[in-house]
Amino acid sequence: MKTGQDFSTVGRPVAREDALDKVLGRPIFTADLIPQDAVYVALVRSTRPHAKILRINAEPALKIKGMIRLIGKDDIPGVNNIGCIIPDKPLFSDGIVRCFGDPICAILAEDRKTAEEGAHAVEVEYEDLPTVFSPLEAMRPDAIRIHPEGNVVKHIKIRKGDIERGFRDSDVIVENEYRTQMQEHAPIEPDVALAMPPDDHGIVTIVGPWQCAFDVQDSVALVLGLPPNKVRVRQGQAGGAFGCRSDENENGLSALTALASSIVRKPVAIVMSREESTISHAKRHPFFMKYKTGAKRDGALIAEEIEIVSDTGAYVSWGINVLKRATVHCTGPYVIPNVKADAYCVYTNNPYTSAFRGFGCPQVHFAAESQMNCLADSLSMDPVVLRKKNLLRPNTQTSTGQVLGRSVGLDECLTRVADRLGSIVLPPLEEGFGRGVGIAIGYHGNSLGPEGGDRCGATVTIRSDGHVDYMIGLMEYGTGSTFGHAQIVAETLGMTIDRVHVKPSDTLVLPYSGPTVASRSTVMGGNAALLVSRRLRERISREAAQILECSPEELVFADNSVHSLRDKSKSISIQKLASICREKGISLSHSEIYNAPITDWDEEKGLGSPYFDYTFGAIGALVDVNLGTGYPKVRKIIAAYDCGKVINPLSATGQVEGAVSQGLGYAIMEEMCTKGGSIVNPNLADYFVCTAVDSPEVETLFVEEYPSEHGPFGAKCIAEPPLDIVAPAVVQAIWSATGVRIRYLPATGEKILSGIEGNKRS
Amino acid sequence: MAVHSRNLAQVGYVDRRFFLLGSCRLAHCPAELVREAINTLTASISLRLASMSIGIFVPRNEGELLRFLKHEGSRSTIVSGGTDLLPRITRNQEEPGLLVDISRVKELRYLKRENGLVRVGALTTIDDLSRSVLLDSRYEALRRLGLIFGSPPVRNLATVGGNISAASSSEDLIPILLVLEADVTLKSLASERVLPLMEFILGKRETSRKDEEVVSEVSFKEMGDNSWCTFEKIGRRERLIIALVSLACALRLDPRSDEIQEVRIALNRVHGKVPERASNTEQLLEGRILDAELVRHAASTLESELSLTSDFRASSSYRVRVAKSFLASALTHCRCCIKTRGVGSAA
Amino acid sequence: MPKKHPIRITVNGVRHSIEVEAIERLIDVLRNRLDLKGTKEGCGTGDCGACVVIVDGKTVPSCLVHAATLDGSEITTIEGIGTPDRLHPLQEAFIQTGAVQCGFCTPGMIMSAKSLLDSNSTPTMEQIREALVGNLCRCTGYGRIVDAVMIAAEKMRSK
Repeated sequence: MKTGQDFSTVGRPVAREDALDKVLGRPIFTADLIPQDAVYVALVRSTRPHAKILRINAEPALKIKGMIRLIGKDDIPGVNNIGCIIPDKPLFSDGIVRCFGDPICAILAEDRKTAEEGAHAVEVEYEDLPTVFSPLEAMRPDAIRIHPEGNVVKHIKIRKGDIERGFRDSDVIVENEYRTQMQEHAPIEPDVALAMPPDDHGIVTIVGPWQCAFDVQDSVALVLGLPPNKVRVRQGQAGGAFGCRSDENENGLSALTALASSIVRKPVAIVMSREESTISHAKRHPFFMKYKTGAKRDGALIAEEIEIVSDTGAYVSWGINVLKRATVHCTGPYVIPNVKADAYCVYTNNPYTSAFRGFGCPQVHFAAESQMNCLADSLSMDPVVLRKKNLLRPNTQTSTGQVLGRSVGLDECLTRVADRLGSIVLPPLEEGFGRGVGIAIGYHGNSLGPEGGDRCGATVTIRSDGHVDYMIGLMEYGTGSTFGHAQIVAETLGMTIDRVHVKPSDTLVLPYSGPTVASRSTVMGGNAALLVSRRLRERISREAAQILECSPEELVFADNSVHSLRDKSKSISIQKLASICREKGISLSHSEIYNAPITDWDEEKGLGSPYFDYTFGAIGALVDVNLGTGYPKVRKIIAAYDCGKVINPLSATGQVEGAVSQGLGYAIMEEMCTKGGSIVNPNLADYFVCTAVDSPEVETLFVEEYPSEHGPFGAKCIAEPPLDIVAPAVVQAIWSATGVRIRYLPATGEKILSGIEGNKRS
Repeated sequence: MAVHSRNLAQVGYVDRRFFLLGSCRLAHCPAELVREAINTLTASISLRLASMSIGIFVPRNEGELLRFLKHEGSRSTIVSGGTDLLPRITRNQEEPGLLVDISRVKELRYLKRENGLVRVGALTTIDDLSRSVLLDSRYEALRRLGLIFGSPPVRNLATVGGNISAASSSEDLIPILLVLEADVTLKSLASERVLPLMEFILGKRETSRKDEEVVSEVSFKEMGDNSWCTFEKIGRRERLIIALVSLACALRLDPRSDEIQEVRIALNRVHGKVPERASNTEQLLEGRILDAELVRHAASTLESELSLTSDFRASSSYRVRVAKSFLASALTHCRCCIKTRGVGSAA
Repeated sequence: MPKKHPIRITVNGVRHSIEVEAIERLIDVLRNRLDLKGTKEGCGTGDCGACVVIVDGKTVPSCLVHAATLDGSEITTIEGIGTPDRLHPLQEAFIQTGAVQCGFCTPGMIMSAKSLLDSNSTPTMEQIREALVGNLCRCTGYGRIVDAVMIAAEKMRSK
């Protein structure tokens, strides 16, 4: 197998094939594909946070010209449920609404405007029920139950070592509470779905910006009472996802349009406004965290006790898995002999929360890294030195007792960031400003880990024109990961990248590849691509060896052809080889499933090796704070990441920069506010994401010296990890500039200014 | 009644029914009238009628506009850039019956200096205004709008007339025009009248424009020598922000003695929901020597003059502290600029 | 029946005579009447920039313009600045630098960038960021986009 400089496409910054359609403005997004004869559906949503539905009167809606009909739970032929893990979320309300915006029923009309007006006109009579908006209150035994089983959906633990003794042995103990806010994905494309009525074979087709085509397929099949093979899910190019299209949102919109389409036998679309889209999909879990950290005088970490309460809102969705990942990572990437963690996933009447890039890691890293900085302060130690004393290295043990392998480049990442920060020259500091620097480190388990079921299928086919078709059930929503797979296929088959094509996502033809989440696409999908390409290559090698009269081991696949190593003149093009194979009845297609390495997780003790690989990284932030207004201006971000072998530096850097931008928003400006369970700012005017002027220059460095034993060519994931640690780096920089420590995100000007003035007084 | 129609302020979009009362402002309608309207509408044939009856008239010149307003002014809504009205329509916060889009009335788009006055046609866009060569560096506040007002495409549409007519604390131009002591010209077919901007704005989204009138011009006296005008606003990010606090300051100062000859200060909010002048603070400052002590004193006076509210975006106490900080930096900055380059210059 | 307003507009060099309703915005005409789907609706309120096109030489958010006011106007959309065989330097640069991830913001972003380069052939990094401030991107963090505009500017200067 080739290595390093021998690679022809893997590791190279190749431009993506799908970029062309996008710069030309071709109609590839779902809303662009809605046919002229489509009718539209709009949801009637709850205007109460917790209530019984007494009566629904659709008369005022149905009188409107252009109305077609009402669709409600009685129209569901199958099961009225779209829940991801626990079946707690109906498609249409089961008689109780548990949060604002909870779908009750739907109106079908000739056009979008009429459907929306109709949905507004439907009268719903409610009987209000008591509400609870704080997960801390919801945990109390006397709290109102949002679901019959009680409000604490899950309790996840870690019990490692002896926590009491650990604190007794500690010279210094630091205790703090931290809170993180509800963050909104804000994909630039609002939610949308399109369904086509059953064809002659009874197959209903759904098109949308989905992350998990197979989950959608299963969910729609359940609702419509069909076998899954009668549900075809295609992906329209997604205008961003970041997790908001991986749960009941995609299930619900697909099931809704598919149901409507089956009833009226016409294409049915739903196109949401920005406001409704924001209310419709889930958010990042707000976490309430208590951390108690004990260390020796020399900085060695001895004990950490952590309590996490996550607000999963009215429906649990992926909340249990978010909490699992959060708990595994809750101490940050350090060696700590004694760890006690208790994490609770709790229902409230707030809007439901679920998957969002980072999936629990941003919250706990904010707390864990802030603790390290407090500790450094208490010990009068340099925060970098303190980290170097305790961070995970090859063959060390994590907080869950996992002994890591060699693919641990964390120390190197930290060194590179610290060195670079020291050498940056910024413009002179303006009067009335304070300047600070902060660093944070983190780790992120690759792929699904304790969530289980980690496998990925792919298919590769050599076409008669000598090009290669590659099919995978993972969705391309902007990351470029499936193009990375194409590079892997090209590398393995010796093709130039322009001859390898990723086929559009369509469950009719795709092998099962699991969900496109958890940054698993490059690792799992890449391995699947590698596996099937290798198998195909082996198969055609036998034929090629015969033709070229040499042994299969002497064959070199390069430049779209195969030649003998010893005699380059003995060569045959892939196209010709394929044609010969075809004539001889040798299959030019190979499909296989790659199964993830076995992991283990003892839920009772919270111990085990839940992820087969971890990505490690460090981020440094330089921040200037306006001391008169508290406003934090982030000047520069340095990111160093160990994600093993980088398959495509262009895409990988893009992922780091994008994650940093979202992480920066999380740190200082993004906050979905609710009042009485209702979202106050479901729009882009009052919910602030970074603009081009807010986003600072980001320098990205990759540490590739610690390749993975499992990932394709040694690759590990990269899409989520950088988002995990921007906030603690920025918050530390703010402390360094002003002496103000922010413990509740986001670190707004108001909180900083309060801190500055509080410090002045004391 | 137990029936609960959609409480839109909570869900984020607004029930159309409340706005089908035509030109009647809901704020002024007694409760019985509202209930009656709902009942009538519930029984009505079609909600769609309202949107179907949205009409638009696009006058090609001032004459056409004024004639239209004379007859239809009472049942029509003027739109110029659309950057305020169209989002409100999309969010279902407003559903006007008849629109009169004046963006094509070229006579209303100009910027000139004559007889010591700067005269800005109402259809001058924010982009035009911020880049105008007729406004030299002393009008820093107006030039700054070219960076911090909305975004480039929005600046290409938003107009001076539209901005002041929106009459709310989110309109950046208003505090600036207040410190420039601008006048507003209102034209109708029959007449023309001029009144100070302060009198033009009556309250949030309320102006003294009569139905048959259009805002045709905003004008202000040219700033004298040794003057400077600055503007600052803050939000949670660098750009694309509705101001939590914005402050405009126009200062005329003797560069040798630092004596304040004239000072005007306006904020997006002082007591109410529209931009106003901070007159107590102005009175304190006028005629005094501008030094650090005075700046501190002025900030303190401003604090006592402000009566601000808290909301989910920021608390009132934060807004007050920022206002004080803005005042201090505005006064200091203006003084510095006047001393180094405050002499008026031709473009 | 809502009243129709006849307008004559030139879109990407092609003349169209159409009748629009009062409520129709430019984005509705482009997407629904002229089948030009490149211009996207991300918010409908002028906050995201996905719908930016060029009207009579200036960028505007097409979700904020009533079509009925555009009689006689010249409009350029993403479909009008390059073809697969002859990409605009901005389109080429966006592909080369990895400035395109999901692609939803891309048309609006390119139109804003084009407008900048049409009036300023030597922009600084800061000027590029300010010119693109009204175009939100949730995927890229803007770094590659700024690089792409710089590269395109250089290419256009050397032509």
